[in-house]
Amino acid sequence: MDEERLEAAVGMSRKWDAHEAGKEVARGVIQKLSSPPSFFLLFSTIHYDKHGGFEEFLNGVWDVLPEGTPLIGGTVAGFMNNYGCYTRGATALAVSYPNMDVAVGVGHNTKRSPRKAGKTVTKKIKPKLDKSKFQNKFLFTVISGPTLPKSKMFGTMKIIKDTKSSKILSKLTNVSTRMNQIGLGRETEVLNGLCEEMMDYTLLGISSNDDNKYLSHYQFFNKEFYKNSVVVLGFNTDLKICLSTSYGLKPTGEKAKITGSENWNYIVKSLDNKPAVNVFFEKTGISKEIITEGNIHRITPFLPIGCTHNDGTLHPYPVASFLGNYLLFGHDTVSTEIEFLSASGESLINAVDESIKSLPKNPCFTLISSCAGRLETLGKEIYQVRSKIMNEIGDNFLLLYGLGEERKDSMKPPHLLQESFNVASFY
Amino acid sequence: MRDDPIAVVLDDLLKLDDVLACMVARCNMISVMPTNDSFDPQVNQVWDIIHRAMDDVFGVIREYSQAGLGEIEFRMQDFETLFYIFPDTENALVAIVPALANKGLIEVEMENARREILKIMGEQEKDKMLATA
Repeated sequence: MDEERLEAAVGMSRKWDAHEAGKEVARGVIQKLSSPPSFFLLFSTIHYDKHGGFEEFLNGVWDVLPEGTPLIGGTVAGFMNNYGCYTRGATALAVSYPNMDVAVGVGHNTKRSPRKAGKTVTKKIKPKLDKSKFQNKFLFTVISGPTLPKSKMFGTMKIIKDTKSSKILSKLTNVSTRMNQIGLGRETEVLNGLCEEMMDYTLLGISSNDDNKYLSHYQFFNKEFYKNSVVVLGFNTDLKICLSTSYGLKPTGEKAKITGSENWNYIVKSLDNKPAVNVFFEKTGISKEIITEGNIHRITPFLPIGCTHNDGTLHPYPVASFLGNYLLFGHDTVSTEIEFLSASGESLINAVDESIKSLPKNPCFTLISSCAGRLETLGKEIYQVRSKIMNEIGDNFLLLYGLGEERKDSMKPPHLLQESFNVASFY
Repeated sequence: MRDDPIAVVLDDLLKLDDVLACMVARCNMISVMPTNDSFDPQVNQVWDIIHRAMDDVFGVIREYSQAGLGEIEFRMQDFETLFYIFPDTENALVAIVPALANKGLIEVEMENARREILKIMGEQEKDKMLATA
């Protein structure tokens, strides 16, 4: 590694006006670099949709950013950096380093044709990176996360108590996802398409989000912004890449078997041949009446179910919606054997230590993806997470809170996770 | 009021979709309001009853803030009122949000506002001490 020639910088804006915020966040980064960035990661909350729009936001960024800089990013529920923790604003991280070959790509219609979208990106970036002389390979992905279909009859479909509606709601979710691209994120299929020919890459990523209303979110690619797309930054470098994941979840010993599922395994219809919703409340021991539209996503992250992938990776699933008798999850179940897990605020915060302390000290820069459910659950306590990160890895980091976390070790299958804390550090 | 930096912090908080009203207040007294002095019309309809309940809560704050009371919230009708108490004082940053709002996300920005206001209060206190020295 050519330590003297590596520069990383984090920028930040709290301005409300989209154009001004774009300019400020880019200026904050560029001023700290002595040479043009090799890439630029840009994230914001959804607020700029109503305060000038994302076209103006990107115009502001490109008023400052050198022409041709590879840029990807998207909207997230919140973020954390060396400046603080925020659920409103914009942030960016850029790196300038000569020993790095960079390519960016975009694929569209991730909810209708997810595998194809992933493969499209591979076709764009792989040929460029294959020519690189550098051996360490990394992908950073931003994939459009799920959105909740809204209907006059069922509202935003977080909690539907009428058990007779289960079948129609499942059907509606499927049709809405494929036809209108409002519904399930299908990020696993995007990742499978993307990684099929790029198995030797390490990957970290985030699913885009809004302010946890799950209605509308965006992905940024150079000067454009999109919906229902996947944007990817790939680079080959001589930097050492370390990836670590932790959860802070405890097994309760309560187990069940998925005996009926559909919609790409996002919907679990039955557990142990009984209605899945009934088994959930029976095994977790909480009363159905406790969960409301207002608190569902503050409670279910404490009571996720867990499946273990055949490569040993734990997939936690906080319940996204109760659809009659069915449970809807934010990503596809990867095994039929499940265990009920539990979490506390303390265990979620302490999971940070597990990830970060397992990595070597003093990284050049660090990217972290975590779950918006953890942010919603911890609220202002995420400042404790920030203190832990700052103590261990210093200033050059970006933590993003999205609707799903993507991670992959080199030569292993990719995973879409939820309720996880994933750190990629570069040395 | 217009030049008050605390009012500017409140302006920022009030721009969030789910913050319907916010203020820095103590028992029987609103110390600082956002610059345009206006709340979401939804709150105006229930303001009288929320205001009365707030005064009762400030009684609790007065009693326990020295003991480390940091936050209180209450839910009335379709609204939640959040109190972020400034340490060792009877003052709190108060926000009224819809009962179904994503409170975790709002909490983060409430905390940012509380930190900024504390910083401003500290600077104001320092200026006062310099002026009287």
